[in-house]
Amino acid sequence: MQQENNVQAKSLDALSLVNAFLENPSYRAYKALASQALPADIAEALKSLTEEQCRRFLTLLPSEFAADIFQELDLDLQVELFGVLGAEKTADIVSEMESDDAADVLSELDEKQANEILEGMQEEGEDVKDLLKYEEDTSGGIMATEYVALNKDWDVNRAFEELRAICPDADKAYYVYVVDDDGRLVGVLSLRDLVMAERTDKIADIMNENVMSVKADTDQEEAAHTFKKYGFLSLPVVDDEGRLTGIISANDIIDVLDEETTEDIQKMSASLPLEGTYRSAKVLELWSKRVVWLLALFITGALTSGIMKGNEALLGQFVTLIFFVPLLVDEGGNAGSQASATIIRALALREFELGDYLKVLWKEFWVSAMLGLSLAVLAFAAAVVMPSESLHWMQAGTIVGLSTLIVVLFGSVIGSVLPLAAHMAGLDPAVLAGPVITTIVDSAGLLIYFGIAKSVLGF
Amino acid sequence: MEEDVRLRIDAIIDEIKALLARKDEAALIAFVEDQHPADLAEAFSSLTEEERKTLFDLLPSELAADIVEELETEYQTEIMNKLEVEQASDIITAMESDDATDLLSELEEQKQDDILSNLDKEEAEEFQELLSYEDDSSGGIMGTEYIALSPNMKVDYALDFIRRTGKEAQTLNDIYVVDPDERIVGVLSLRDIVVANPLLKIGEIMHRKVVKVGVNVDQEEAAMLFKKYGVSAIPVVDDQDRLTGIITADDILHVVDEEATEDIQKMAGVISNDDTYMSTKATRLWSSRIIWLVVLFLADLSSGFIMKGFEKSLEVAVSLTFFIPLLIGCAGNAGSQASAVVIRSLALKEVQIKDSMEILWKELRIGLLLGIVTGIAGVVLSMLIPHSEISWAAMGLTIGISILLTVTLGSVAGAGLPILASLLRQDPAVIAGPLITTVVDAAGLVIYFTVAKIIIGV
Repeated sequence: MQQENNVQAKSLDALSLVNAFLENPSYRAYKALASQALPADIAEALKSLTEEQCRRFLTLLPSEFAADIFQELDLDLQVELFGVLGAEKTADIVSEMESDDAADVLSELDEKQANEILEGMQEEGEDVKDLLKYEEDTSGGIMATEYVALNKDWDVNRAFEELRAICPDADKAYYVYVVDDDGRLVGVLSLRDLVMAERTDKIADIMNENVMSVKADTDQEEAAHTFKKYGFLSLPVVDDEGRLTGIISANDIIDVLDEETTEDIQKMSASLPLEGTYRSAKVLELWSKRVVWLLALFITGALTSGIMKGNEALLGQFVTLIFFVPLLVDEGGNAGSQASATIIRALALREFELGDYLKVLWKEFWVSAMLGLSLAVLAFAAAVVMPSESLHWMQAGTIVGLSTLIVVLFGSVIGSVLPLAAHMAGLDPAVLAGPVITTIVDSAGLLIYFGIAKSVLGF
Repeated sequence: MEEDVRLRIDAIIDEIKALLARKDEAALIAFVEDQHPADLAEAFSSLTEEERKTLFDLLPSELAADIVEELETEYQTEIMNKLEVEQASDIITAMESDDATDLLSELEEQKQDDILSNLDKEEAEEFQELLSYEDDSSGGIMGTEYIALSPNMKVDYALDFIRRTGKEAQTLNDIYVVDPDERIVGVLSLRDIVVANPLLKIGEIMHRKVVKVGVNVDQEEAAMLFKKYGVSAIPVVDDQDRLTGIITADDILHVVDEEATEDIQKMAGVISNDDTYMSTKATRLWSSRIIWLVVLFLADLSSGFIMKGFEKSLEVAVSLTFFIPLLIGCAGNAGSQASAVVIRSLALKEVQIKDSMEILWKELRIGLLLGIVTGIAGVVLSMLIPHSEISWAAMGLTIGISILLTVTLGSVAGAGLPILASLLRQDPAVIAGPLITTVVDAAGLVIYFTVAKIIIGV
């Protein structure tokens, strides 16, 4: 919390600096702003200004600084501001943005507007235009083109010259990559290697040839996995011919991880994933993402009504049985949700290999059996205590206790089997979570419960 | 892609097994040196226990440390427990300090003490300090391999200094500048130094605005700073604002995964731990799940008592019971949907507490729209299931209105309860699916029977 307050205090500082600059846009006010506030804090502060104030503020700033701030803004705010800034200023700002951020915002605009901006961008426009060609969730879609590439035949001296020449454009370059005459990626060097080397050493002699890369059409999730596994600070992206086309930084990967988790969580709660943020989603959009699953589950769930109807006579004679229906089906559903969430997450983090599946099922079986037993004891006690005219306490205890054991066991096993099966079949396991499992357990649980009740009561 | 990796790993396993069998030490070291440590670590689990031990006996500690850093905790501790203390200490020394600290904290106290007492005094003290920080604080994930310059250093001297001391540093993209009291006054990258005029002073070319984090601050807050400022490393400072460590972006990737796992498990009513599924024992898995199941069980008892309270209505109209699981199930699902999206948005700070009213208003409208659709479906269903004692119209109306109300309630409660938890400074992730379902069950039953009383008059 302390930290959060600090962050808030920082953007307040930034806001007062922004206001001071807007009141009197002098060089001094600009200097104060640029040296005392970070772009992300200024971006935060802009949220509390009017559109006109933002427009004026960004117009007054040099494009380079404006771009630093701009790329920290939420995408929908960026799009909104493009509308009021005018094509020329917009093109200036986009030219100064990092290529991946520029491509992200341009892909949000309609084609005509995007083309207008691209035309105004000259040289940088080409890079960004290339980036726009890649699918959003591929390595190409998240990479940037600000990398440092050295030719393998150069010496260290030449490398330093190159570094100086392209310096301001590539401040995310943690490593420098080495390419051959055709632009194919052949090695990697850290800046440290370069600094430590002799001036006359050839790049090819000091580089590390064991360079890991991903293809531009590789899924972003795959890229994230490679990135995490090898602990890089940046990962090069190559085209089909092995030519270096971009780099992915750790910050891009953090975004991917967040995005994938959000998608999984939404799927696990029986929603179709949202395109943007919850905040920017309209009521109708949210509704349409949820109603599909809700209806599907409702229709499946209707089976429970049929099962209850089928046991009308039993229920009419022993009303007490009804009291335990929600309890029983919920417990099975809850145990299933726990198991499925655990398994789905472990699958997403690739903790399992195919060979582990049997071990996982065996483990889950034991966990489920233990959970079922523990809860059965509780359920037995609860049923014994619940006053009933139609059932003897021993009968109630036996029926409810035994049913709890089997329903919890069933829920928990189903909760682990279904995601694993989906994964094996090449489907996304995330949808087989809480709500779907709960709905299945509802029907199965009732069948188990009434079946046990009938045999105990000799009905 | 995945298959390429698999093939590569299999080839590594075969080669290592062959070299171990031949006891060809030189060739083994040469081979291991050429592989990426992460691949070796993956191959490691396919070796026998004895092969693992022999492998580590043969490898020089530098190389061994690179591999140990990439291993999963259970293998790390296995190796440490098998090796002689001398050898284990050498590996710990060669590892990056943050990884070494994590490993030390996993060892039994006796083993940990043995290793620490075998290190030189200064190093042992450093580990003792690192071990004293909470696991999930910034201090708990930081490393101590950073470079600190003085603002008065000339650029060419600084370059020379980095050449001499930079070998160990985790990153040279973020080099910090500190005053004589070790307080951070600036930051710059190796490239800034390389391309600068050699006669300038570091203080003249450094950036003065530095994003930093306190040593006791939660790792989740540190991750937020990375995301917000797009930095590749963050310096960690102690209570006196002195530089004590550095967190790099790859540490944060782990934090992001860990926090997501924790949230997902909490949302399903599982008390999470840091270990992987495969390395967690069944009894431990049981204890991580049983607590919430019992709590939810006790809360669920309320639904039994509510129905008991309406026993008379049920005896008169058993048909009412047919729709109970469906009704509460549907409302619970709507609640899970709403709570999941709100909890995630709160975690990513996309929404804040001040947006509460806006969120609730939004969810009220969504809930009503969802309730209308499912309510109509309910009316249709009530017509398909024969019931003699209640008229079609009364039953349909009761079901329709009850579903509309409970689904709306589910959506609003699903969004409102996590917000409430957050207001009370509790973790909103706990109030997800299972708990919402339980709350909605009880409320749904009260609504259902009340509506039935009014419309059917039982």
